[in-house]
Amino acid sequence: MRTNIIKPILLIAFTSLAMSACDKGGEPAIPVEQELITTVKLLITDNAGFNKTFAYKVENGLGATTPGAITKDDVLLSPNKEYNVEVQLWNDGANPADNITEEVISESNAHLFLFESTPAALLTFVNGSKDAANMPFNQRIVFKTGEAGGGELSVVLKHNPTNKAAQTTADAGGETDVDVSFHIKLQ
Amino acid sequence: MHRARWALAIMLSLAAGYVRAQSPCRLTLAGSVVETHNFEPVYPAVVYIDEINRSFDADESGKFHVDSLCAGRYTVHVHTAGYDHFDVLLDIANDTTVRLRLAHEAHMLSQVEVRQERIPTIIQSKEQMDKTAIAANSGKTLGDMLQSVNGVNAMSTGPTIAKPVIHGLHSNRIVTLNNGIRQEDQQWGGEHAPNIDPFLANNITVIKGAASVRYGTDAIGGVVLVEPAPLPSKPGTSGELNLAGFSNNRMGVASAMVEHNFKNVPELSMRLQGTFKKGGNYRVPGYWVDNTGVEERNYSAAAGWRKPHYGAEVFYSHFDTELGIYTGSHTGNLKDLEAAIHSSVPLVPAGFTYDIGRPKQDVEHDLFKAKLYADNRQGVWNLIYSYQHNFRQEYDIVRKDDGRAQLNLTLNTQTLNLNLDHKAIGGVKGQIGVDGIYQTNNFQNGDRLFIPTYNSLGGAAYLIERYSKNNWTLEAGVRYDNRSYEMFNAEGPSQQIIRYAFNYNSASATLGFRQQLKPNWQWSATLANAWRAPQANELFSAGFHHGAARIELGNKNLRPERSYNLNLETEYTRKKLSAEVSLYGQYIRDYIFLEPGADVLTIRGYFKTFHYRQTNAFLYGSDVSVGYKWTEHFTSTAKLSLLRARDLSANDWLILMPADRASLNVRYGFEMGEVLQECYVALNARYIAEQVRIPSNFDAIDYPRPPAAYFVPDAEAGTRLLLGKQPIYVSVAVTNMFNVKYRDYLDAFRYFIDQPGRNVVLRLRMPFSFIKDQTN
Repeated sequence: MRTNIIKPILLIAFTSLAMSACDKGGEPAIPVEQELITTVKLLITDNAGFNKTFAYKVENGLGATTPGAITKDDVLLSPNKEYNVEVQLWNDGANPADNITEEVISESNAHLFLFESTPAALLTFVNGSKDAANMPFNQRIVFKTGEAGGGELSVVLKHNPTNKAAQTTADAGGETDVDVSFHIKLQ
Repeated sequence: MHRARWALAIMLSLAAGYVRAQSPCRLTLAGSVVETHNFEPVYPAVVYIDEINRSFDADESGKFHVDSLCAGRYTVHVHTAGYDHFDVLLDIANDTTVRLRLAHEAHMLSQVEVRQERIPTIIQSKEQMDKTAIAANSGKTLGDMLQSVNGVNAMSTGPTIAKPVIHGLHSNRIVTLNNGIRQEDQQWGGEHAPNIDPFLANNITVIKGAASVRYGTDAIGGVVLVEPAPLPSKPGTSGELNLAGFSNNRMGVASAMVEHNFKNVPELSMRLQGTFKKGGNYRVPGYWVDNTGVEERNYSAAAGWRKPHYGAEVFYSHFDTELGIYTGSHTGNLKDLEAAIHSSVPLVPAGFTYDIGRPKQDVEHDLFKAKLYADNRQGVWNLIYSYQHNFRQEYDIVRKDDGRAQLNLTLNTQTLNLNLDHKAIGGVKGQIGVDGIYQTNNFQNGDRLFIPTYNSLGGAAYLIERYSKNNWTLEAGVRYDNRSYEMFNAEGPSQQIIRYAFNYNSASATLGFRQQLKPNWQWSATLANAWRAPQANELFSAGFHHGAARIELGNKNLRPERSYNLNLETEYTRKKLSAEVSLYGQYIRDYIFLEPGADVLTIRGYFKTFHYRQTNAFLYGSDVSVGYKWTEHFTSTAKLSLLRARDLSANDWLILMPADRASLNVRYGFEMGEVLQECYVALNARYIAEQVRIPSNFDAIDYPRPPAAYFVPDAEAGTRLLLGKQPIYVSVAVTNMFNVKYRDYLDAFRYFIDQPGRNVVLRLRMPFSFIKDQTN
């Protein structure tokens, strides 16, 4: 009588083990790096017909097993002039390339572009564009160039900055979405 | 109904309880549950006393202890799996010692002698939290609760996420058994806490040190057993209501349990249980912490069909939690991280709210278990099938919030275990069994990269035998495991799916010895060998962690870890003194850890990189616990836990290991008449040293240095309120009573934020019972 209980137990054991072994998963999913930005472009124009685009590009952005190659243009401008600058953000990993700029503009009150040059006298930044609440957003801005010389220009995009009126990244708080650095020459 | 035939013969021997003048409610009942013929302890056994609605677990030697009894008549039940129900009436007038002898009716002995020979947990260093200890910590997460066990720390991500660290090891090196089922819930990340509702537990056991033979591979660090009470065996309805309120984050917790045994179908019992928890932002001294709310909804159902020689049980539980992650810990790059570290105030200002925003986690865990058991000539057979479904969603801070989670991970696991607790063969008894596991891990298309899709199939066979003679017991066990993985990783610029196959085979073994030198003095030694296969995240992770501004890179060439663990333990009790000392040493070959590499420049700026690498590690230390009963009312317990963790290959310290710690608990117990019983006030103080044993390259890996030592006092008071016949347990606890500012090395938020400030906790527990007294 008792051994009769054991046999069905053993039977169930091996059947369910066999069944579970046959239950294979479906097609593996493809991961996508979220909200990837690979390229920062500076579209620079002036009133005298100057019109150039300078790009900073990381081949595969973030999230890949190997860091991607970085290509960047040197920004060549003339001294003592004013330039209109527009920043664009692209995901070149997508096909066709995805323009992220519109997305950031639509969330302008949660974003802030910040520019800094070293040496500081190289460039000054004025007339930045505003968000809906009339706080700085700076996606469009004017560069005033100083005396001839060379240095670095950093472009930073902050998400949810705690201080929207900040002039420097250190004061802005929030999370960094973009932090790139161009070589700049005024000649 | 053969209930009467199978009723256990009750033999009760009242050993001479020494008579002493005592207040009426300070009596103790000490006892043991033994087999009638050979006086061997019956384990596990639960002793339940109707009149006080409380259960007590007998230990491995069958002993149990009940404090603070009033003089009177008590109905004492013994529940043990496989035995039929047992009860007895006791008149208690003095401190009493009883021996409960469980036996079968004489005429049954001519037939097959049936006995549940359940082998207790293996000989090993372990510590239990009983119902009282669990209730005293109710409302906390499992990881947080386990900190009261000496040698166990919590690795936390703020106060809502905590996972246990046993002797310096955590995550995949700890196996958690939820109602006998190995919990499979994506615990690979430091911020992934075990998805278990502690209100399910009647008893929690922590096994310290490698214990793979019975509980499966990976258990290099130890095992946490979360066990519910046995289903009721007396007809009627009973249950319990638990309420807790926490002042710090204005958190409320409610949990209720109802169980029933059918009068007309006495074989059938069932239990329903549910918990709801909601808390808002918590407060550190001086500040609210943004987005740190929690909401949890859990429920479970169990049913059992119990016949004298066979039975079945089904269990289902659902766990659902939503957790906010402190916004300021979500940093963009290394510069952001440094800014957050250097800021003296939380970078994200906040007030109080119950709302949970991004970043957050939403995790569901379902567990289904079915168990069949039967006994025959060979012993007791158990067949257990389980299915677990874990669905984990992580919501990041995003530009375009379309309500989607950025990670949707599904882990499905099925297991099957067939176990025979065999009868003694030439004095040797033990258990033999086979384990099977099938697991699939998936994410959704378009999720951010975390760990790859995989399928895994595993099988194992084990044998544990035990021989006892006079005052010593020798135990030996072996196990052989095979585990294969098929992983699908998207690689290269075109994200082509590459298939990888891994196959791991290995044996584990354990050898334990225990000797009872005197009735009040015993010692044990355990030598265990265990292994752990590298996990999917260690092989393939290739993502970045926002909280730490780091990129973690897997290593496909990792070999399994192998551990050799020696534990020595001794336990001594005298009238007023009880002491427990354990020493342990563990050598881990090919210990897997993260090693820092060069900083990587991305479009977001610089990030640190970390690669998974292997070394040989040696961890050793000691846990000491000393209790002293100064007077009838006044007791104290001191605990000390020391750990040293070496990287042998680099001849250096290992990173992120718990610092030395000590704690002191003093407790004053008293009675205030018939209505207020079991009153107590207690003070508890913890001292955690600064971790100074850090790798020499620490500053390059993990800035800033570990936080300073800290000392935190807590206070507690409670009573058992008797309203008519209804007992209500009420307690008030104040943790961090002086609102001390401090940070803990094992907290991932130590970079940004202090530990929670003062927290006043009010707890209420009301057991209820509609079971008619059937004893005559």
